[in-house]
Amino acid sequence: MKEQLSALIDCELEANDRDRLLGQLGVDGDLRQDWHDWHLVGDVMQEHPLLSPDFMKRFSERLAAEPIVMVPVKRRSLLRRALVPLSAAASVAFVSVVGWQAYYGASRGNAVPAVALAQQTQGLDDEGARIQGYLAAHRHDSGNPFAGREFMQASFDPSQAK
Amino acid sequence: MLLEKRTEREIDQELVSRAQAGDKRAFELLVAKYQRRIARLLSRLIRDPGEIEDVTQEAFIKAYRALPSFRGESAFYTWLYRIAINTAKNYLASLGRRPQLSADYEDEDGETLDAAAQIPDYHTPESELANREIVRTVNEVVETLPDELRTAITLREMEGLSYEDIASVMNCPIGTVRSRIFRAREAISAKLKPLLETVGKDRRW
Repeated sequence: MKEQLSALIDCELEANDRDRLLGQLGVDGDLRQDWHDWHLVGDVMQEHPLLSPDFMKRFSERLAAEPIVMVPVKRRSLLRRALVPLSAAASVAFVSVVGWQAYYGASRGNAVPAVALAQQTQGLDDEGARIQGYLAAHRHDSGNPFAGREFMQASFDPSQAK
Repeated sequence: MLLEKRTEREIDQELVSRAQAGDKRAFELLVAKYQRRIARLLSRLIRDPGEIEDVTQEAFIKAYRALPSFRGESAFYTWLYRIAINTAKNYLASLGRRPQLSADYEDEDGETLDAAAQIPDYHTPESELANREIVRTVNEVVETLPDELRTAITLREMEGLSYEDIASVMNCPIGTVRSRIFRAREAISAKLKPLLETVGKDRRW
């Protein structure tokens, strides 16, 4: 046990032993005294300034007079825990839809006639040309579901929707 | 080294968590570990050894009271150092004094000296005697240790090497390094304990 404490002080103890030993320190006065003495030895060797020999005793007396600190353990709320799998499911669903659209478009062999595409693109304004350039630049990115596909401009007229 | 630091942070965090759950002894372990490092830090701001000790005590009490605000976003000692510095500045401000921020100053011959090295390790004649005796005992015992124990504890405590690095230097298994360092500590503290019992009002806190 003491050799493990020595290794703990040097941060060389495995995690399982570490947690067990930290628990043991809470109930074993001899171990705590070794913890204190071995840190003192290390600090003397590193030439840290020493404090009064009764520093810890005086501090403990002050600490004993302090109200006990009790910090509530933070637990993730039920709502938050429920939302995580939902958001993951939403992500999967989105990727599935995009993938399906890409596959569906590809399986139709780029069915949009080249002539029609040309006609569409001829009508693009400057903004459309900019988007077209952007898509062209990224067309060959691996994993891009829109690679090889043209985009379509859409507009919405509220007056016609009524 | 990076792994080691992370582990030290984890150990401190575990002690903090226990203290935050109401375990005052866990906090005392942190005080036992960091008291001299905090005192060294404060010696950059405050010259009087008695005041350094008082402000060190106060800084740890303030840290204990502030434990609910510690969320582990930084290492415990980084957080503690900030509290110690603020405690020292507030203490000096309450006296109408300014912090003496310079870490080094020159002696009569123009030599640059480390301010911390100028601070005596005591503030009463009894403390002075006791601490001198502690330092002398530790150094003497280290000198009389068998070579392999002395080398192992020196590489660890003074050079800060990991067990793996010490094993490489000493050409032995890591388990042997661990055992040698432990035996060295046992040998030193065996000589130190009677002294600490005599001077020490600091036993069995």
